[in-house]
Amino acid sequence: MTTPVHLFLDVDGGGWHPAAWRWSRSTPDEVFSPGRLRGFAVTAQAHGLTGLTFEDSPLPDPRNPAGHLDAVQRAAFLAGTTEAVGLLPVAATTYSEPFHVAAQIASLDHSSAGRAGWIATTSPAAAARGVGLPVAQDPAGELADVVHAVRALWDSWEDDAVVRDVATGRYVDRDRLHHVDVDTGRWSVKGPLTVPRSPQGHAVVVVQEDDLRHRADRSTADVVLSGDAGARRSPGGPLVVLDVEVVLDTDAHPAVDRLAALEARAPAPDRGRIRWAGSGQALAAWLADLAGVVDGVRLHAAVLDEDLSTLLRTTFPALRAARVLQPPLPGATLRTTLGLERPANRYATGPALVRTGGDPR
Amino acid sequence: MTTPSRDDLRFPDAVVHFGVFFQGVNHSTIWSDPRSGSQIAHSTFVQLVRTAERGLFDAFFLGEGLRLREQRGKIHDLDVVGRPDALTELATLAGLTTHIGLVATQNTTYNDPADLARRLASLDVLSGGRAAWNVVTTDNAWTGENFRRGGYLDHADRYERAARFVRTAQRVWDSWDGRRFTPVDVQDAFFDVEFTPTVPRSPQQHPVLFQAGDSPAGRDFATRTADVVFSRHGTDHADALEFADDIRRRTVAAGRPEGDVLVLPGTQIVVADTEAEVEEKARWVLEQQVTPATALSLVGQVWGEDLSHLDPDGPLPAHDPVITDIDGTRGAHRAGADARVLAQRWRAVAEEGGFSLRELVLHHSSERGFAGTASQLADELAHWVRSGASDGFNITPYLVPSGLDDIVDQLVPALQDRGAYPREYAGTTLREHLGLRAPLTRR
Repeated sequence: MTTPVHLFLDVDGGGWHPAAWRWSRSTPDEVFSPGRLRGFAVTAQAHGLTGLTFEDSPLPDPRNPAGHLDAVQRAAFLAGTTEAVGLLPVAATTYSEPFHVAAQIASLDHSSAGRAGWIATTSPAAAARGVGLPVAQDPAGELADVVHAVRALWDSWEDDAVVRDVATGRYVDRDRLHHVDVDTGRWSVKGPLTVPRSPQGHAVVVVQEDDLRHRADRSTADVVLSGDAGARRSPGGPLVVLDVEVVLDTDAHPAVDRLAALEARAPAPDRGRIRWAGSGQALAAWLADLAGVVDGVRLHAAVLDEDLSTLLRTTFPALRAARVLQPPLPGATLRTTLGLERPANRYATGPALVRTGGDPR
Repeated sequence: MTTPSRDDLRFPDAVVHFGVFFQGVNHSTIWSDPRSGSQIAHSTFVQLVRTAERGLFDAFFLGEGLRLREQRGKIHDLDVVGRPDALTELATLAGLTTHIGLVATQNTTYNDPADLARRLASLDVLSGGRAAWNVVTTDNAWTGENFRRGGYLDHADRYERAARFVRTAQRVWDSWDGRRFTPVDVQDAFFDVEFTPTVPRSPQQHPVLFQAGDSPAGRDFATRTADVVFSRHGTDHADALEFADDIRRRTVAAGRPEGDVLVLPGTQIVVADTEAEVEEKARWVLEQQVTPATALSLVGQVWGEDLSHLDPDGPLPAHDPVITDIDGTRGAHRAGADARVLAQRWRAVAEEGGFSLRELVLHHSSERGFAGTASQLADELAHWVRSGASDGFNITPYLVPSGLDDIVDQLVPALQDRGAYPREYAGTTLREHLGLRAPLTRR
């Protein structure tokens, strides 16, 4: 059996290029419209993509001067009207409340029946002004600590904590609810979470390789987003997903010309991702070659309106024909689709309480 | 039941506004019945919100709790525990509904204004102008143990911080002029923030503001700031009228027109076909809510000790409570009361009525709202809004997800027959359903 390459598509704003909105067919108001989001979800699901990602930043986005909606809210908005595609919003860790992040992502996992991921990122220093806090000295350390606290909170309810025992009048078994007592020295979280354990146990935790630098412990992440063209999948380690900015040939203009025109308007910053320009067919061939080398690829379209149509007409059909995509099955959890174990609960005491394999309960 | 009289209808054309409050954590929700669905499964929320939208309800409310309730160091295990994050769940429901308002309870102590304003505005845009924020405050260190900041806020400061918080959020929402964002720069005793917002305005301009505090300070805060007061005065007409009149007075004192702040009390509604069935059903609901274990737990809160070994059908404890004040940090709704005074009063009531421990609790719990046939209830609720006791009701279903079915199928048509309930949504935004004017800062 061929090893699949899991495809993710980011659907933030007008596209990865800061000049995208000038080329977009969407008016500024439409860029963040609910209808446009719905369209992306339908497209991703119909073409066998593993997940949609929702980039985010609390700061103004030059790619979309008209606005920028919260990523968790956007992902949640699609949870009830999709059945298969994974939903992976950014929620930053530097200035957030771990308790709120844990509750939000667990809720997304409940309402999507186990299709939630969490892209845990650090915030730029400028974000500190928005929350009125001093600039964090060690964002990468903060990220590791917050992910640790969030995972502990996700375990603070054992899977079968709700017992509904009419005879004794007990709704929950309090012995299966746990104070997590995480203390970093800078802050602490008591627990338990106010949200019961979600279908996946833990949503799929995604971390950018840059945020893991200087950290020996990669177990923080289920998936690592890498901008390194030489990245390889690592058996036993987190899944490796390449982060790729694409600019594609359209009927009217070759990719290189489009990129030059975009750059002339507003030079794009280096976000530490691979940049790929060419035809949709050539992209499909490259992605097919990556099957078995990495676990997946996340695509960022230069101008969503233009590049997505090329992806739909050429790249995705070619990948399906080559059988390197493994479309998620309706009702499957994101962990099941990705071949990740459902984490055992760290507090579970009896063998009956440990569930693995990702079956939604 | 109050008999409607013709001479006290101060608002003869008023219609009843309905909201549904998915209570989540409280013994009002009967979980032991076979018809009771999961309290966390998404399907439960979907069925309830769709029923409410079919019944032209204005709004769907979700509560918030930031720590599981405990008594004497142990997690309370008798009632429903656990619920989704309100804003996240409402965003999902926004994708599955078209008209109903979506109200998130969110507190001002353990959030940041820039972040919360952005998430609320995101819900408002995604729902096409149907978001609302039920502003609540928390000040206890016990809840603070779940947050980076801990329990840092003095009780006296909590409405001041709330007012500054809301003002900052309003500045975030006002920063979009249709073309670009104006940076927000706030420096006061509570906040020092400077940033450029990123979320544009929705069709209703701002999320609608609800406020639930009942103290004089809470009422002043509401009438200076909010669009709707979510009150606890949803049982006794005279009490509700007094509250609504007080809100109207304070609204005028705040420089606003009398009807600028709507009053929506929380209540429970039991509907049945005949008077005999009404009585039987109301009794059944009450006994399911106040189980023997719950009765012992409620009395234990007042006495400050574990009384689960007592016989619920026996008398109240003969000794005085071991505590003086009922603990304010554990979610007991009688928090702050003098335990000994309350215990004395309870013993007197029990003696006079010949009540056992559980019968006493049932007696105190029996006035949760309304019970009647659809026709009786329609007359009574129409009278409430037309006499000015409220602008409608925020209904807590005692069963989910089916608990609104009889209200939507029987009571709503009876109200419509009396011209006391809309026959269609007034528009597509919550502000339109409620007949509210532009947000305060945009008038």
